[in-house]
Amino acid sequence: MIHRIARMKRTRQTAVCLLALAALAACGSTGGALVTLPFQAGGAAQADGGSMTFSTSTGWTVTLDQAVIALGPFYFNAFPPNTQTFRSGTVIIEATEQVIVNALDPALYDVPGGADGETGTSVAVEIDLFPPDATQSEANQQLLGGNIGVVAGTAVKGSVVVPFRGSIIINESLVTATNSLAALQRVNGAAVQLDFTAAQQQLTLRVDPTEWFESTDFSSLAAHASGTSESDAGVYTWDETSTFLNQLDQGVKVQAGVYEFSLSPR
Amino acid sequence: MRAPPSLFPHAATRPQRALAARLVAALLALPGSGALAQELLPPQPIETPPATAPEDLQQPAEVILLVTIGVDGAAHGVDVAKSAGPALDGAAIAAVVRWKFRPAMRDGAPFEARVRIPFRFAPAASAGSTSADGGSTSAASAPASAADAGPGEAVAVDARLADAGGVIAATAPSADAGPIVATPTISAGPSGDAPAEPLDAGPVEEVNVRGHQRKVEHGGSDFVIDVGQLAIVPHKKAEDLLQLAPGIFLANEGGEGHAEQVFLRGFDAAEGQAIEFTVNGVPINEVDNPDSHGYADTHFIIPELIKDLQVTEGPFDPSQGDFAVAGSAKYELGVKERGLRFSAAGGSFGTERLLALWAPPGEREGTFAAAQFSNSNGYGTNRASMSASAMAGYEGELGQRGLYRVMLSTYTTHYEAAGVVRLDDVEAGRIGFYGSEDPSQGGDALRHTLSFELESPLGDSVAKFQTFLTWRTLRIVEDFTGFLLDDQEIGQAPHPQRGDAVEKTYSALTAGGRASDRLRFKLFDLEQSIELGLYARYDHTTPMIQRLRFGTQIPYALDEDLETDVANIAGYLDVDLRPLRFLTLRGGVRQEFFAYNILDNCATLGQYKNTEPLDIDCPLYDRGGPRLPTQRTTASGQTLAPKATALVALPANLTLTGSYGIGARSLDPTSLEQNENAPFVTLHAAEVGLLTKGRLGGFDWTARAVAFQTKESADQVFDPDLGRLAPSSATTRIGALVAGRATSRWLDESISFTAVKPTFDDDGTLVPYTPLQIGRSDTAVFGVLPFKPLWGHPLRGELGLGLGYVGKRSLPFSQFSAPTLQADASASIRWSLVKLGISCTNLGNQQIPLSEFFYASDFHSRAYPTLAPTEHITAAAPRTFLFTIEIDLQREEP
Repeated sequence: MIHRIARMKRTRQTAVCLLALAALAACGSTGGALVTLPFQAGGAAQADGGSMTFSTSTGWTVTLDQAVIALGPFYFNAFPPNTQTFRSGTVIIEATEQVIVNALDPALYDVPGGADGETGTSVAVEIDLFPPDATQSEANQQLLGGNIGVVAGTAVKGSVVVPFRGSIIINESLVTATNSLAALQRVNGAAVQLDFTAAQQQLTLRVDPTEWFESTDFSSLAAHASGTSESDAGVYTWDETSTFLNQLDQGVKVQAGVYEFSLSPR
Repeated sequence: MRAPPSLFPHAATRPQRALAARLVAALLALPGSGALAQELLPPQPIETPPATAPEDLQQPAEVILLVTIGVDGAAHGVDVAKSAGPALDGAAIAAVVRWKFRPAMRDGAPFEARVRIPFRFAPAASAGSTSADGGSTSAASAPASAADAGPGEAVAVDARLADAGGVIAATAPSADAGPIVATPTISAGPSGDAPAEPLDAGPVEEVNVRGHQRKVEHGGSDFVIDVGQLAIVPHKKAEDLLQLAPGIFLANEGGEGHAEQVFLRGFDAAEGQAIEFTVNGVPINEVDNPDSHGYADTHFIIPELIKDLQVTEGPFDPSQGDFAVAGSAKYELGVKERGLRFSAAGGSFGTERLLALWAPPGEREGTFAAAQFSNSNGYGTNRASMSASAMAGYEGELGQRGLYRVMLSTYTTHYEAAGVVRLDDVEAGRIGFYGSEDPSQGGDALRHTLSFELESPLGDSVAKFQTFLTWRTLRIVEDFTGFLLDDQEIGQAPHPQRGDAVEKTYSALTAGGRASDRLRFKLFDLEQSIELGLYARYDHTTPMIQRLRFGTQIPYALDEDLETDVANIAGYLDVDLRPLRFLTLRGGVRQEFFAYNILDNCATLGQYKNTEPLDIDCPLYDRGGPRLPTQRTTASGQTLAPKATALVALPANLTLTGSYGIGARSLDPTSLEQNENAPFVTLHAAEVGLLTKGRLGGFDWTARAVAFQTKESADQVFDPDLGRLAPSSATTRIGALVAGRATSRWLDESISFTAVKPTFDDDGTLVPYTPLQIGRSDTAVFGVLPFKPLWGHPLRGELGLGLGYVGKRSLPFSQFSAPTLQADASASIRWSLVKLGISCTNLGNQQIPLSEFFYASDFHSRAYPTLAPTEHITAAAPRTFLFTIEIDLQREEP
């Protein structure tokens, strides 16, 4: 009996030792965490699904009837990226799917695949601007016609009325040694302040198209400037060589006021 | 001369030799205390039936036999060292196999030893005369027993002196109750006649017992692993044997020919950055290797040549040099089973291996020649490999008591590597678990090594000297990130991402040597010793790193192009003192000095001028104006590292140990600046342990438990952008291990479990990638099968089982890997010359991630770049079979 008790004691002591040994390494972490969160995108919150009228700083009153743009993938940086070097800002969250956003429709739609990455604070978002990819519907591909977006509406200034319709195009002739195609095909760091945590979160994007036209001069369309044209129906349009497109392109890539990202608990 | 009849028909006739000594067994260097006492006693003859000479013997003759005496005291192998013809050889052999011995003892435990026994035959005319000397002659000038002799000394073991200890019965045919003579009298006529008298009963023949000076153990984490029967458990490569020491886990993200990544007690030692590797004293770690400073590739070692392995976990040994931060691994080569062996193996994935090994019987264990050829298609994608290795060694005697060893090895390999795969690609089915994101990965390696050693007693000391020379070339192509790092920079023509594959090339000439002298003396009537040692090493290296276009071997950018000369000189003092009978103090101090001379062949890398052409890697200008692209940097540094260990003998065969030591590692020379006092990474380590051993029911067993803590001034963590470790902040590791081994005549079991917690000192977070728990069990069962021998030869079987448990590994972002348990097994059967075997690794055919990383990569496996961190893995091999046939010629039947 005594021997059995002693043997049980020894067995228990051995087990305790081994458990203590194993428990030694059970606690602690390397810090940080991986996160996965749903991502939705839609037009401006003030939009009503129809037209949107606004004024620009150049004195034009614009009524937008159509504003559709292809956005994505999205890369959320921990600090602002270098303008010369893509992806130098340390990406902590990414959403690697493209979404077609109707900036005049306030409804939110899921971005396929959501967003994932690591916890941290993002201060800038790089948004790629590519033509619709193979995952987009035939209708959207036809709508954007190989370009990154399409806008249509009417701009009025005084007595000048300029109906317009045209594509948002990346002008590849602007590529230089210091200005790569990749740099042209993105919003190089939309300003944000997003704290991604391990808690359950929802990521939302709203696109406000009013800033796209902030520095555009519709008079160049009316004046039939180089790279512009007028249809038989009196609607003005442009190509990639026009000054108007260059101004529109800059508006699309504005880093503040166009792309509003937010995080909310879910 | 015709081979003499023998009970061991495969023991070949030995050529006559002039010199007497043979290696009997490895001697533990010094006596210790308690459970680590290191006393050695040679075999003692107990019963010595005489040999019967042929009736027609006309002349006196002498036969000298080399007899292997097992732990049971019986003669298990006999070789003829000096032949007097088949008849007399046979008579001597027939007698000695009936002799009984008290086996050789080390620290109270028996071990197999080999002794030299002369038989002198006298013709019948000499019968009746008695021994001229009834036994009082003694080799007074020689030490009384091996226990009193220093390592490497010849020891005359006089059976009559042993009788003075009162342990040997008289068996002389004359019935003289006097002492036993090592030269038995034998019959000169037909059986039944009185045996003849010894030819010369003057000086007693010497039985020389000689061994190598064996490393003493510095504390509870110093493991001298006699591979022994555990060689049965599947161990494909020399590195696999490291896992016989507790707390070691091996990974490999670089392919069959790439050095293993070693994790040791919470350290990521990379491919050798924190562990000092030596093979027969030749350093293996490579200075300024572009893959990792300290890269140690042991693939050139033919596993069958490994005799034992000493793994010292912790920096407690003053003889440990550069890179011994987490510890050291010292391989000793030698072949115990002598003979000529051919082995052919084939198995899964087109694996083939040929081995030829020659260990001439009668020669020392350090005399051998072996060649190995292997190739495999590899599992999954892009893992084919082929290699060839040849090693030869000769161990001879220098004078009466000295030894010398020469070792030559050559090795080459070419291999492909699958590299890492993204787990999301695997889960989405875009790539298989055993697939490859970039099939251009792989490498080549070449190594030639020459080493010469001398060991000789000098008065009261034993001196050792070694010199070595190594030539090494290496090329590694790895790709961890795909298309992530080749950003558009100023000075470059517009380009897309061209690929992140890195080609690392390296060549190195290493020359050096070491010398030591261990002086023994007595103080307080106890054995003491002091060793002084010197070490010098010179490396001339040419590391280069280039970036390759994805999927090709075409370089498009240069990252590094250096030529370095590094000199390392060290001296150490190592003492082994016994101030009290129960207390042993070991340790000392080591002074290390480094001198660096680094030529950067492209110091102007990245410089650009608006007016100059684009895409020039090494322009002839910088911001200051025109210049040459090269620049030289020289620096030096030194460090002093004390180490101490105390062993206290307790009752019940227990030993309490405590150790403290400082280790240091040189930094990658590329990080040095001109005239900088070259810094070292230093590590402070301490541990306490309890050791014990004993014998129970035919089993010899040892067990130990050790608790440890280490603090490193600057750690290194894997950086996927560089494809190697990069500096990080200071770290602390605390942990504990338990380990044991039991051996018997039919079983050899080794078991261990280690738990560790490595944390960064600044924020207390876990150091990533290291396993937090490692368990290992190696079991070998062996013996003669219970079947009727076939044509006089018994069937001998062997079974081996290896179980490896890797607990969760800490990963970045608070992730942990899943624990894994892998089982490997082998079985073999031997009949006469032939042995058939089968081994299986990963019995359960599990898909095991060998390495796991979290970082960003973009292999263009999806429509758009993937830039956020995600999990990457390298895949361990699936279930793999290997069938082996082995033919042993000249082999001694056990």
